[in-house]
Amino acid sequence: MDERPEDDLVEDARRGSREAFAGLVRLHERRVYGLVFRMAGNHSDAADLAQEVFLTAWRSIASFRRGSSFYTWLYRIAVNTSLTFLRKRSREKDRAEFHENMAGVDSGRDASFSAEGNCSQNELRARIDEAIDSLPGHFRASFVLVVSQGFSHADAAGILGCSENTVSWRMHKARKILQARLKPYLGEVRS
Amino acid sequence: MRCETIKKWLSDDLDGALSSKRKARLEIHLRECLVCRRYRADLTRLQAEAASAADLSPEYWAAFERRLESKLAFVEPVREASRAPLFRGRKWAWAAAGFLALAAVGTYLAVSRPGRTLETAWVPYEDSIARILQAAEEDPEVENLVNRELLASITEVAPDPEEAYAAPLAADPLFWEGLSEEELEYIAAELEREAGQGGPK
Amino acid sequence: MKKWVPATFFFLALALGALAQAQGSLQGDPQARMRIRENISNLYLLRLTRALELSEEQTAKLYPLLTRVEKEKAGIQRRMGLDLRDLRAELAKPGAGERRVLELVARIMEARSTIRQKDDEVEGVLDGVLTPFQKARYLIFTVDFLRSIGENVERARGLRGPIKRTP
Repeated sequence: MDERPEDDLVEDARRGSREAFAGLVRLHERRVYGLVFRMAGNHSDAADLAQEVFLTAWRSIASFRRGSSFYTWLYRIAVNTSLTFLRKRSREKDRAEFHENMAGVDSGRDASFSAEGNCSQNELRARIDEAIDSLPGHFRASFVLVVSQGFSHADAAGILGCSENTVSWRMHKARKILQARLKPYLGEVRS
Repeated sequence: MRCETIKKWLSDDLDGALSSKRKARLEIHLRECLVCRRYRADLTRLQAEAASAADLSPEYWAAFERRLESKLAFVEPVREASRAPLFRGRKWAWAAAGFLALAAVGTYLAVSRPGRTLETAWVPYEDSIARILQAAEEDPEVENLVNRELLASITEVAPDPEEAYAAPLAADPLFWEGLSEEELEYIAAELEREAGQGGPK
Repeated sequence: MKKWVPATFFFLALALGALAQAQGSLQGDPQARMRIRENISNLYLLRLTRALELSEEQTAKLYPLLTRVEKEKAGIQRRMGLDLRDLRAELAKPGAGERRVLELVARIMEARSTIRQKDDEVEGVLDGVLTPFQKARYLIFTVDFLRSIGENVERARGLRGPIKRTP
């Protein structure tokens, strides 16, 4: 295992060292995977996306500016790759568009689950995954970075290329949408 | 204090982005508002469930790295030297010439091969802009992106020399009447944030 | 001259009517709007005084004037908002009265003109108080500030997500 500091690995990778790049992959693979998994919603697509992220990063490593943050650059590639994937997928799949005024309406995709029955932990988890899955792309990206990946608003803003205030508003909007959509299930678990 | 503002503060608080002053006011409101307390409970629950991630085995990661390594062997990083633009300084003239050449060829082919549809034109449909435009028609998010890219490319090709001096729309008092409360709040929040940072000079 | 005045008002009424109807769902609580606008005004003044780097003497001369004018503009803007709301209501009636509509249009345009005059008044005073470099900074600040408002609105609208088209 390459124990060199990340900056050294980045510098060597920029000079063409695949071994150094492999070291960077090991440092970031779990978080990158976590991010694309949350964006794609399933492991199969997430695995392919994560590979694509690192391939893109390797291909364009020479364009990475010395002195800037490697993980911001890498995660930006991950977010953009995920958003491109989601746009392609939304054309291919019949996906109900998610809006606040449709909160509480069953999309009909999983007729076997009823909010009137017992909402077990696993079922709630599945509902939450489904609800996050149907957030609009940029809302989902902000939500995943901040909640699933634990980035601050400032760091997420750096990755997304927007202001901290924009991230703050997107988080608020995403939470409002999710809470409205999941209210029946959250209420069931609470009681 | 309006509940709508409190909900925004609750969201910021969950992310550790709420100032201590606002946090104190938030707690005062929550003591008296059951609706907001329930909202907070829902958000806290969501946060806990959404934050947890699937844990994959070391074997999975070993396989992931092997798979990636085999692909990296076939991919060469793009070297900085080879990225030097060929047409430095006059790229718009070249872009225009290239476009005109394409247009001329396209026109010739269109005229000389009557009845051909876009799908059978000399540019394969899969690679043409028609595919993107069709996607834009079906998906408003794609449409927004396409419009932004198109506008950005137009601005790049023909930068407006008067842009810096154009009378901003916000100077008109009527402009403000066209903004929703939400938009006004966003503007105020953004100005407040910039005021804290010193703001643009 | 007399012939085109009613025609001008007619077209202005159409334009304002369209604006009023388009804003139908956007107005919200007038008190809340006023509070937010006041906040924006205060932030504008803070940014402006920083950008101009006023001396103590200049601050003492200008700050009371700037604050008073912003308050006056806010009052006029609020009345303009209420008139726009009344215009919207009038247009929604089956037999909208032309006289009432034109009266409201005239009041709204008058308010718009008064607010602009207030800005001119301020600029007149600034002209006598600011140094040449400060005047230049004022112009650039104004353009940049107003443009940033437009950009913030676009970002806020971008956050609202894609607009659902009605069939």
